[in-house]
Order: sequence, then C-alpha cells, then structure tokens
Amino acid sequence: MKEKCILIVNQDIVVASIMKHVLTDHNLDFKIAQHFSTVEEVLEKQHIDLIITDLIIDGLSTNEYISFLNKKLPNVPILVTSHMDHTSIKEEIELLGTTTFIPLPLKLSTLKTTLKNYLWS
Amino acid sequence: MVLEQLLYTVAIGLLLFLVFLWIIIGYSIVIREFRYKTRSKIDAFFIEKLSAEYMKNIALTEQTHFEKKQTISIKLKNKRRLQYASNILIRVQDAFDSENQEMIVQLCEENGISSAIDRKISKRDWYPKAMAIWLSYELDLEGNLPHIKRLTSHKNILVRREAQIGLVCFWGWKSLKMLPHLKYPISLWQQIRIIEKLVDYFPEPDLTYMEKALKTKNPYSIELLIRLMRRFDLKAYIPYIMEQIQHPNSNVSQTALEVLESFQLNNVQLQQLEAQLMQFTLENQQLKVTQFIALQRIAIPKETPNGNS
Repeated sequence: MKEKCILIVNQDIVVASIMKHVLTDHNLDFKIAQHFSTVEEVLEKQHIDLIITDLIIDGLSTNEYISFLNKKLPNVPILVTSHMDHTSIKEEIELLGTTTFIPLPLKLSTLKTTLKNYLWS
Repeated sequence: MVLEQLLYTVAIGLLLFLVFLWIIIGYSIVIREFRYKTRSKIDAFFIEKLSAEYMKNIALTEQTHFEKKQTISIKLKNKRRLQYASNILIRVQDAFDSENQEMIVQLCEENGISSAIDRKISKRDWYPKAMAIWLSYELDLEGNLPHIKRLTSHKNILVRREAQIGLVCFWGWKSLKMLPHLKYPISLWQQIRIIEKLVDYFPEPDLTYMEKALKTKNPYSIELLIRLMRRFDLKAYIPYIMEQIQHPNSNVSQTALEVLESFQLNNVQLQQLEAQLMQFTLENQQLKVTQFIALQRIAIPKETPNGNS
C-alpha cells in the first residue's frame, strides 16, 4: 500500500505530537506544523493526503487560513478541531469548504477510525 | 590634572556599567537556554508518557496487546517545572477524551504534582493557594475537596472565587448548598462563571439542592439563583422570582424584574403582581412593573378559564 502523508497543525507541540504517536501506522507519514509559515513550507515541499488542524493558528486569521487550505489543496480532506463547538462556527467553516469539524475534547480512537475512512475508503 | 582624573573615573564607571550589562545579558541568555532545554525535556517526557497511555486505552477497546517502555525521565521538584507540567496536563485533558477517567489523576500522583498542589493549598499566601485550587479542579484532583470546601468564604477574593468554582466543578448542583453560608458578595462575573460551569458540566438541573439554596438571605446568592432559573428555564420558580421584586436590595429587585422578562407569565400571576403594585417602594419600580405587566398582557395569546395560557 502506498504511504500517505498527514499534516498535523497545532500550536501546542505536546497535543500535536500525541496525535502523531497515537495515529502512527506503518503506511502513514506525519508532518507537524505549529505556525502558518511552517504550513506553507510543508505544502511547498510535500504532497499531503489529509490535514488535521486546529481552528486557530499563529500567523493568519481563521477564515483566511481555511480558505488558503481549500484553495491550495482543493481535493484534500481537512479535519478541523476546535473547542468552539457552536453551530454557527461549524456552519461557517463548512461554507468555507472544509470537510469535517471535530469538537474538542476528541476521542483518539474515533479520530483514528475517521482517518482510515478518509484515506482508504 | 583633576579634569583628567574625573574623565578616567567616568570612563571606568561606564566600562564597569557595560560589563555589568553584558553579564546580565549573558546570564539571561544562559537561563533562557537552560529553561528552553528543561521545558523541551518535560514536553518530550509527557509526549511519550501520555501517548503510551492513550495507545493503551485504544488497545483495550480494540482488544489488541500494547506495551511500551518509558525512555525519558524527569525530576519535577522545582515549582516552575511543576507548574509547567500541570499546564501540559490541563491542555492535553482539554484536547483528548480518555476511556480511563483517572489517567490524568494517576499521572499527577506518579509525578509529584498532586503532593505539590496539596502543599500549595495549605500555604498562607493567597496566590499559591488560589493557583492550587485552580489546578485541583482543572486536573480533577478530588482529594483536595475538603480543603476547597473550607475556603469558599476566605477573606481573599481570588481564593474564595476559585474555591467556589472548584466546588461547582466537583459537586455540580450540590454546590448550591454553600449559598446560604457565603459571607462575601458574589460579583456578576463570578455568577456568570458559576452558571456557565453548571451549563457545561451539569446540564441537568438537580432541584433538591436548589430548594436548599432558596433558604439563603444573602442578596448576592439570591441574584445568582434567579439568574440560574432564567438560564435553565425553571418556570416552576416564577413565584420565587416574583417575590424577589419586593426585595429591599435594589440590585436583587431589578435583577428579578429583568429575569422575569424572559418568562411568559399567566394571567393569574400577572394579577398577583398587579395586586402587589402599591407595595413597591423603590424609585421607578411601580412604573417598571406596570410597563412589564402591560407588555406581558400583549404577549398572552388566549386565556383558559383556570388562568393557564
């Protein structure tokens, strides 16, 4: 099976690294970005199959950031995680084209299953 | 000659000042570097530890075997490091749900965070005390509850605020029984924090404790209770809110009227309020209540003979 690359974007390195460790699989490669400039760098150099990102990121406003991801990677699934579990926020994000909104705190087992569904379904 | 000596003295003074500045800058760089390395090590320790714990949880639900040994070790004796480690655990707990509810508590006990919080909570200084209460409820360290219970009427505002929130987090609606015993005012901000904690963690109201709390004579507690009644849409307590319009404290009476505006009163209740109109003695109160009754009457659709709309 071809190796897939996942980009985890989170300002908190501990949270991002735990996600990476728990989701690690033999045919998955992970990249971590804590800042918008790192996201840009990774996307320039690497092909990405899926993005797991926090709603808020250093270096760019949320709306601009999500629009940027959708324009740059139109067919790549984006999983947005956030503590702001409000219907209006979910709807606004979906309007921007994002695939899935996942409220925090999240179950890592559920995230693992969601990831598999997106990558190999 | 004297001028030359003076110039030398000034030059040496300036040089010494510069050397002093360099030493300070150098010390600051070394300290920052050291702190960065220590924090990176603490991060690495918790990433390894917590990842292993979460993977263990997933392995349990997926019926697979999992075992991973910890390779990084740290010492958390310094209070700055303990604070940093506690913050990591709070952030991780906010981000991930775990099947093992006790996981974070166990980690706190294993790494000396619990005992450090225990020591802090018993200190006389208000700041570490308040901080320890905050950490206790954020990390679910229920063992500190006996200390927290005693601090809800502490003379320091920050300590008693955190203790009250702590009690709400641990006890939920049961914490309302503290209201009749509170000695100090509860600010509007604190009332909002209490209500929001109940909404987030205990959305199902437990009216047993509400009944007990209604015995309070503290005007701030009454304000909190009537705001809670509005937030949870507790229509059964409309008569209690109506009673509070006559409260001698103008803030309570005003809050009661404001809260009442968010409910639809029936005809009988409106008549009761009208009958009490002459008893309202506070400035503009009669006018406000009359306006309120008029607006409510406009909103009443059709009235059944028993007074229920």
